[in-house]
Amino acid sequence: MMHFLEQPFGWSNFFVFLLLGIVMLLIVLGFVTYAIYFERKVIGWMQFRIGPNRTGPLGLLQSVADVTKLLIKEDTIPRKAERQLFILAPVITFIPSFAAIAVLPFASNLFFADLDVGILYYVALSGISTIGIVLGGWASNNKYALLGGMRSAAQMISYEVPLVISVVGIVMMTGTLNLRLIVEGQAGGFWHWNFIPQIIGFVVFVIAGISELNRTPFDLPEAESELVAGYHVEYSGFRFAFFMLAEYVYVFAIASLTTVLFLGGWQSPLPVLDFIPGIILVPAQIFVHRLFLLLAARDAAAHPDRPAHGSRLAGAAAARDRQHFRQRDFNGIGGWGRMKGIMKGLGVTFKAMTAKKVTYAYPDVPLEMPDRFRGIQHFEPDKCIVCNMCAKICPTECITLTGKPNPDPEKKGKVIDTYDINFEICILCDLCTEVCPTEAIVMTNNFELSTYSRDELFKDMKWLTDNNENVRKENNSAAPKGGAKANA
Amino acid sequence: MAQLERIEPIREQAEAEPAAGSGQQTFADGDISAAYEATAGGLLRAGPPESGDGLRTEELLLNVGPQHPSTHGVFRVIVKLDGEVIREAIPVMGYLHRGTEKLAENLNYTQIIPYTDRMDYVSAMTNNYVLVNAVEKMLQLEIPERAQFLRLIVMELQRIASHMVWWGTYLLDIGAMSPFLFAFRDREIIINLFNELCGARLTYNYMRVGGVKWDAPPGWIDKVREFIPYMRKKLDEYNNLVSGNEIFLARIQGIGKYDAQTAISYGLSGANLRCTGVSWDLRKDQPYCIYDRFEFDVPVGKNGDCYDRYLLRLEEMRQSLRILEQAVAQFPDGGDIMGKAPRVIRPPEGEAYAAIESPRGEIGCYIISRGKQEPFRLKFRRPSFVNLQILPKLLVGETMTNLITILGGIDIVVGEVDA
Amino acid sequence: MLDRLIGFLSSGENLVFFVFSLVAICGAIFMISLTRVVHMVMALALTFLSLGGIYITLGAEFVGWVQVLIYAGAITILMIFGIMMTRHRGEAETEPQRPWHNGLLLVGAIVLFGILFYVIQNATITPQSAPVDPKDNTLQIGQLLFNQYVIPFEIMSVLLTVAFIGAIVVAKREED
Repeated sequence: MMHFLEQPFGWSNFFVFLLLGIVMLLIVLGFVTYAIYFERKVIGWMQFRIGPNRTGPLGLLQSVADVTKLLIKEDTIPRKAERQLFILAPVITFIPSFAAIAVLPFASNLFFADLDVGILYYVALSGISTIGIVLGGWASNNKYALLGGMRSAAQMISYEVPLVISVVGIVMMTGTLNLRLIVEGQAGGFWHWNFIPQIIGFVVFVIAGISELNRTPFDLPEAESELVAGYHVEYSGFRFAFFMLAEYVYVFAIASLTTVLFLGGWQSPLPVLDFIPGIILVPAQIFVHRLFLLLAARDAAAHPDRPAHGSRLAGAAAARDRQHFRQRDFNGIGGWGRMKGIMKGLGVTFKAMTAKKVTYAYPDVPLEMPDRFRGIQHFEPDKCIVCNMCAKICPTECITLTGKPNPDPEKKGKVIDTYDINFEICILCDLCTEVCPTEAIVMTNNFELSTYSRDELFKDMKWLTDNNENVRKENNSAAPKGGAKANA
Repeated sequence: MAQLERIEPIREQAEAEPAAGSGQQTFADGDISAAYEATAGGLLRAGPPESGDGLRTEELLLNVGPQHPSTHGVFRVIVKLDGEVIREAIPVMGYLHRGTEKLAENLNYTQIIPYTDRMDYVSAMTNNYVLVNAVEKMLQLEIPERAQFLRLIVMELQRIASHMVWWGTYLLDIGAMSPFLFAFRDREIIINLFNELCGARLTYNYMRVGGVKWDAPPGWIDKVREFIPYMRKKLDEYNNLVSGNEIFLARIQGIGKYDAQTAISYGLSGANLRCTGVSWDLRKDQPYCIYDRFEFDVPVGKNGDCYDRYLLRLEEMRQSLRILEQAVAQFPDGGDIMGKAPRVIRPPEGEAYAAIESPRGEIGCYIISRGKQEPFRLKFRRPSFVNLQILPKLLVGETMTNLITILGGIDIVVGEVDA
Repeated sequence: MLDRLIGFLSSGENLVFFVFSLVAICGAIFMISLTRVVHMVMALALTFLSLGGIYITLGAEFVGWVQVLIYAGAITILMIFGIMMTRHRGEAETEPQRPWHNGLLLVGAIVLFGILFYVIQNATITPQSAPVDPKDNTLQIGQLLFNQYVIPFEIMSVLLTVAFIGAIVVAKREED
C-alpha cells in the first residue's frame, strides 16, 4: 500500500482507492452483520435462550433479513420535524465513522492512509459523528429524542477527554501519533505490547471506548427504559439503519484501535508465532476484543450512576459512593472490592451460558397443555338441554343460544337450535362448563384463536361441535351442579 | 374528579398567567383530557421564576407514557423537566379503567371472580381470595381444611411469582436484560403449576365462595415441595447476579426515600410501608386464611429507599418459601375442597370488608349487600393505586433516570391502579 | 487573466484550496443569514471544517485535525448543547427595512474588497526562510513550544486555567 500513497495522485490511483474503499465497505458491512448476529447469540445463551435460529442455517441470515427489512421499509419523516436536518443527521453520523477507518492499519503493508496524526484524525472524526446524533435528536422535534441527543453531547464531552488522555502515554512512549509506527514499536512478543506499561491507560481507554460507543452500561443517549430509544426514536427504515451502521462501524473501529494501540496490532504475541501473517492476527484480535466489549457491556446488570446526573454525581452521589467505598475498605476488600459484585454477576451469567436452554420451539413443536387447561370450548348439541345456564353465568355475556321444540314429538323439552360464542369477548373463564349440568359444553386444550378478522372470532354451533380434539377429560366436580332448581 | 382536584393548584397557576389563552376556560367534569392539555400548556407557560439575568434554562414538559416501555402498561406521568431534573410531576391514570367495580354491581358473586383476576393480573390468586373472603365473611362460611391449605399454597406461590415479575421488570427498567429472563424462567415453573391446577396461566379464576374450584391433581403437592429448595437456590443466584452489583447499588441506594410518618400518612402498604421500618403485614397482624398456624418473619427495612424495597421483596420471597415448606408438610391427606356454600350465593343484607396482604400491599374488598345475588356496591382498596399517590412527592428534584427507578420501586400494576 | 485562473485551478492542491475556501465563505455567510440558531451552528461547523481542510492543504496536519477536533467537534457540540438547553425566541423577528441601508452596505463591501484586493496584489510576500516539513510537524510544534516559546506557552495555560476556574465559579453561582 505504501507505494500507492507515495505515488502522485492520478486517475488510476483514484480507482484503486475507490475499489479498495468499496471492498472495505463490504468488509465492514459483513462485520456489522455478524457482530450483531454474534451479539444476539451470546446474549441469548446468557439468558437460556438459543438466539436467532430461524433465518438461514443457524440463523446466520438473521441480520441480513433485518437489514433488508430496514432498507425496504417506508421512509417516514415526522411532519413537524426539521426536514433538512432530519435527513442530514444520519449522513453526518455515518460518513465520519467510515472515514475514520481509513487510518487504521491492518497489516504492515495494508492500510489506506499513513497519517502522521492518525490518532488525532480518528478522535476528530468520531467527534463529528456526535454532531449528527445531537442534530438527529434535535431535528426529530421529539422531546425524548432531544433528551437523548443532549445526553449524547454531555457524554461525548465527558468521555472524549479521558479517551484522548489515555492514549497520551503511548504517544509519549513511541514518540509518534502515527498508528503504523505505534504498532511497529510493539514488535517482539506480547511483553512489548503497550498494554503492559500502559495498563491504566488501557483500562481507561476500554471504558471510555465503551462509552464512546454508547453501549451498556453507557447507553444513556438511547436509554431504552426511560428515553424509549433516545435520539433515534423518530427514525425508521434506512435512516435508522444508517445510525445503526455507524454505531457498529465504531464498534469495529474502537476494537481495531484498541488492538493497534495496546495489543500489538499485527505483531504476533510470541516470536515463535511469527510465521502467522499479520492479516490473520488483527481480525482475530478484533474478534477477541469484540467479545470482551460485549461481555463488559452485558455483565453490568445496571447502568452506572448516570453522568447526566451532573451535579448529583459531584454531590450527593459522590458522598454516598465515598461512604460506600469507605465501608468496603473497612471490610478489608479494598479498591477492587468495588468490582466484586459485578464480577459475581458476571460469573452467574457465564454459568448460564452452559445451562439448559428453555426456549420453546412452539409452532414446530406444539405446546403440551395439562389436562385441566382452559382452551376453546367444545360443544355437543346432543347433550344440551337448553337450560340456559351457561349463557346466564357467562360474566361477559359472550354466549347466545336459542332452542327449538324437540322434533321427536314423544319427547318433552327443547333441543338446541343455535349456539354461538363470541370469542372477541370470551375470557375462557370456565364458568360455562362449570354450571352445565349435562357437560354439553366442555373445554378443550386448543388455544389458537388468531384470525385475520374479528368477524371470524364469532364461532357458531357447527364450529364448536367440530372443535373436538383434545377435549378435557376431567371436568370439574367440586362446584354443585344443577343450580337451575335453586334459581327457578 | 379526584384527579381534577389534585391538579387544581396548577391550573390556577396557569390561569394566573395573563398570556394564557385557555386560562379562563372551565371544563366540564368529564372533560379531563381537555383539562390536562390546558394544565400542560399552563405548566409550560408558567415557566421558571424570572430573575435578574437574561439567560434562563428552558423547562421542558415531557409526557412519560401512556406508551412508554417503563410505565408497565398504560400509565402516564407528565413531568416538568429542568434539564434532567424533575421540577413537577403529575401522574395521569385511567387508561386501563374498565369499571370493574361498576360492572360487579350487575354480576353475581361467582361471576365477579374472573374480573378480579384482571385487576392485578400479576397476582390474580390474591385478588380471587380477597373477594371470596369478603363474601365468606358475610355468609359466615366454614372453609374446609384442604381448601384452606390449597388457597394458602397458591397465594404464597403467587406472591413469589409476582415478586419475580417485579424483580425482572424492575431490573429491566434499570437497564439489565438478563435478570428478566432469569426471573421468567423460574416463574414459568409456578405458572405451569397453576396451569396444572386450574387450567390457566395468568387469570386463574381458581377460588370459589366456600372453597376452591379444583383439588390438587396427583403429584402436584410433590412438585411444589420440589420447587422450594430449587427456588432457594435460585434466590441465591439472583442475589449473586444483581444485589451486590456496585453500579446497581449506586443507582438505587438512597433513591426515593421517605420516612415512616410519610408512608403512613400516604396510606402506603406492603413493602412500600415496611421499607421505612414499620412492621405491618396483615398475614401477621390480622391473620386470615390459616396464616396464624405458620412461622414466618416480616422483614422490615430502615432506610425507606428503593434499595430497601428491593431487599424486602427478595426476603419476602424467602419467607413465602418458608410458609410453603410448612404448608406442604402439613397438607391434609383428604377432605373436601368446597364448604357448604349455598348454590346461589345471596349474602344477607349488610356489609363486609376483607383485607389481605397482596404482594403489592393491603388489598381490600368492601361489599354492601342488599340480600340480592349481586352486590349493591363493591369497592376494592387497590394497593397499587394507593401506593402510587406518593409518586409526585418522590419525583420532585429527582432526575429523569430516577423516575424509572422510583416508579419501578413502587411496584404498580396498571390493571390494578385503574381497575 | 483567464489563463492564470485556469493555471491556478489545474493544480489539484489549488483546486482543493479553492473548494475549501468557497465552502468556508459560504458557511460564514449562511451563519449570518440563516434565521434558526441550530442552522447557524451547522453553518459555523461547516466553516470550521473547511478551515481545518485549508490547514491540512497547507501542510499543517496537526493544527488542521486539532481544528476539526476542537472547533468542529467539541465547540459546535457545546453550542448546540447551549442552544437546546436555553430558551430562545424570536425566530421570525424582522427588522424594519431601510432601503438605503442596503445600498450603503454594498458600497462599503465593494470598497473593502477593492482595498484588500489592491493590497494583496501589490504586496510582496517573501516565503518563510525554512519551509516547514509537512512530515511530522507535530514534533516540530512540540519542540518549538517547549524550547523557544515555553514562557508564552506556560503563561497562556495559566490564563486558560484561570478562565476555566472562572467559568466554573460563574456556573456554580448560577446554580445556587
